[in-house]
Amino acid sequence: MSTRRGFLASTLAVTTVPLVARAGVLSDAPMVRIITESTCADTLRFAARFGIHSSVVGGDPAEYLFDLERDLRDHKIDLVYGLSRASTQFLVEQTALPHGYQFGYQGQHRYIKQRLLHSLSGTRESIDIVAGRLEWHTRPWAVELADALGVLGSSVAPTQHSEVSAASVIPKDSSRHLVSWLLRPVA
Amino acid sequence: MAANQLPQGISAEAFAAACDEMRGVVGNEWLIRDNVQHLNSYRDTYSPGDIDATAPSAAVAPKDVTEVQKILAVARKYKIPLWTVSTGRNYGYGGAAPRKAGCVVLDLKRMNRIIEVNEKHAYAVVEPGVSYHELYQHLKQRDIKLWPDPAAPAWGGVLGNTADRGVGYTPYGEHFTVQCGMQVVLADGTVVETGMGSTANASTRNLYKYGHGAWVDGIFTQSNFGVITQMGVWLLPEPPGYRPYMVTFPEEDDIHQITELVRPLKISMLIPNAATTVGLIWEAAVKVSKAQYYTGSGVMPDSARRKMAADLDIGNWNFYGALYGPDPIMDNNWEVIKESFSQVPGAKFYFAEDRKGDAAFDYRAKLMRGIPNMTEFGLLNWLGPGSHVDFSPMSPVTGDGALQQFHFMRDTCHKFGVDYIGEFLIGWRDMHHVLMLVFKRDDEAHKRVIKELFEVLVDEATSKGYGEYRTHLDYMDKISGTYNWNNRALARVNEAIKDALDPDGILSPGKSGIWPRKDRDA
Repeated sequence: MSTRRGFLASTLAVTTVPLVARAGVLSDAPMVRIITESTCADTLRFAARFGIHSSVVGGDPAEYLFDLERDLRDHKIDLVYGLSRASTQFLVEQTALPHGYQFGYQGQHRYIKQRLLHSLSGTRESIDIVAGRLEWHTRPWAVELADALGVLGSSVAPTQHSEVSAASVIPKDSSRHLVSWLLRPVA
Repeated sequence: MAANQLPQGISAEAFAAACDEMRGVVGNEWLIRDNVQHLNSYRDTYSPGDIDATAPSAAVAPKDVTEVQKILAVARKYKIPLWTVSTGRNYGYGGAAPRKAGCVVLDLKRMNRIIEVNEKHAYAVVEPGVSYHELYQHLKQRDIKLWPDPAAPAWGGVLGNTADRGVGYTPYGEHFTVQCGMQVVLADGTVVETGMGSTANASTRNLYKYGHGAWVDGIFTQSNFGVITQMGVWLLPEPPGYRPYMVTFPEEDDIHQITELVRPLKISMLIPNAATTVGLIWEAAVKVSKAQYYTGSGVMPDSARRKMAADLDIGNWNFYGALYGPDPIMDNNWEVIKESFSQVPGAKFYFAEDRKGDAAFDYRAKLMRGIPNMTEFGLLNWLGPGSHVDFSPMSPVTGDGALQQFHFMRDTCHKFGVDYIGEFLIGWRDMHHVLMLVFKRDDEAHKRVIKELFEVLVDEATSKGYGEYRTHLDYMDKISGTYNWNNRALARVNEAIKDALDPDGILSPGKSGIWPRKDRDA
């Protein structure tokens, strides 16, 4: 299991925010691109977990997508993961596919009738990690998710599905539907 | 996903031999067959239909015209059908996928040189792999005061979009109108320069479109008669001033009066750009999802629509245009435009300073200013993880035409439980009415509804005299079949050209309903 030990950069859909790597970064740490958006409180919490506190309103993926493509082509990134709207995940997926990346984990997070339903796909190991965090969380779920994704680097293609749900107040600004994912190069 | 098919009628041994020869032309990296992830990027994952029916057998990416010619020679030798794409990002119309399973995608993304930017005469010459984003960055980095005219997605190809007769939003919004000069490789490997480019030491290749004699550029658009390897496109000189604006209108049937008011403003060029009248949900969906206002099944009810419109301060119709020029001209034109639209009860007027933080206004303002972006993809979150196909009939710029199209398309959508998400793009003398049929990517039942709805829309539009200008892979034959006046005279002309220029039928079989003889006979 790899750990999140380094970051190349992190991105909000509206602005590119250089991220200061956390203390203890090793020179051979996997380079991770984290992509999220400032669309709602959940994504902002996810972003904040990585030291991003910007909340510029906007939302043009072109502001980071072409840089991502260049870095994928130049093999500067080992893993790409994020929490975003589904359209953003699609754009990132289509950008990464030609460079030999595929999903190692995917999640859908939907607010339905005062409950929050997480539908997860991945290896049994990755699902256990993410589901465990989301099922028994004491902190906001997006924070738990951020920590869980950081330890999924060794995941392989999705093979299992699982659902976790919990009672939840629907945040006022929520789009009701977010997705999380991890893309990794196929060996 | 099923395994990728071989081209029809080609044995595994012959295909392997052809791939080996193509690999010898482009190198191992650029003959994509065994790299499953890479090959999957050529599939039409946006389709509501069976994506295995359009799965390629392989892809090959030449870097220049010489390699294109060599690939064509291999294709002729083995009778391998190729499917040409530029950047291959035309999602909603098929992406990089071929019309027919088993084709080898001829991917021109590596041919991405901006051959020339001429500041004096305001044009660029590009290869197929140049995206709007790249052309814009090229101009910006060199402080060249010329604007490209991007399609909505920044990763779209300048050449490919023009060749597919796409549209943008500046005064140069009808892309094929501002195309000038082409280099085309025919199926037999012959390289052709069109128009003035075929003269010795051509000095007006990208300045005068027509040359002498038959003007052939048009036959290489939305077709499969050759591989376009260079194209000249005129660029808009940066005007001394720019003011994007938005006018909102409260009622659905206001589209009649809006359209009647726009026509003289467009024809007289007081509104110079490719202006748009955007429906409520199209305008809203960049910012919010349906579930935020309605969680029931079927079409969003009127009460929820009105709540959403009020919250977002938008109308049932939202007209976007821009003023270009020195301040006195913009001031003068605005007076006329405002006076015209003020005739519609409840019309409200906005400039950029009134819509700060509005993602929808922001991306429209960028597009009308020639700045490529990707914001419009946010529309696809309307239902959660979404995809779309577009139904796009042409209309005259009349209130009657707009209202009739709007009514039958809205009502037909509603019968199928689908929200109307549409916009009218007003060109020189026409309107493109684009209906975006958004569906859930992971819901097979919903995809079936969309497919059935699309078929009904085509039939209904045809019966009313409206033809589509462009369509998704799955509907190319059906739409082509509606252009059938005088016993398919136009289709027979296309087939005659196809048979003459590509007798082996190796180039993009089925593109826009044009099939080579062997497929027609089969």
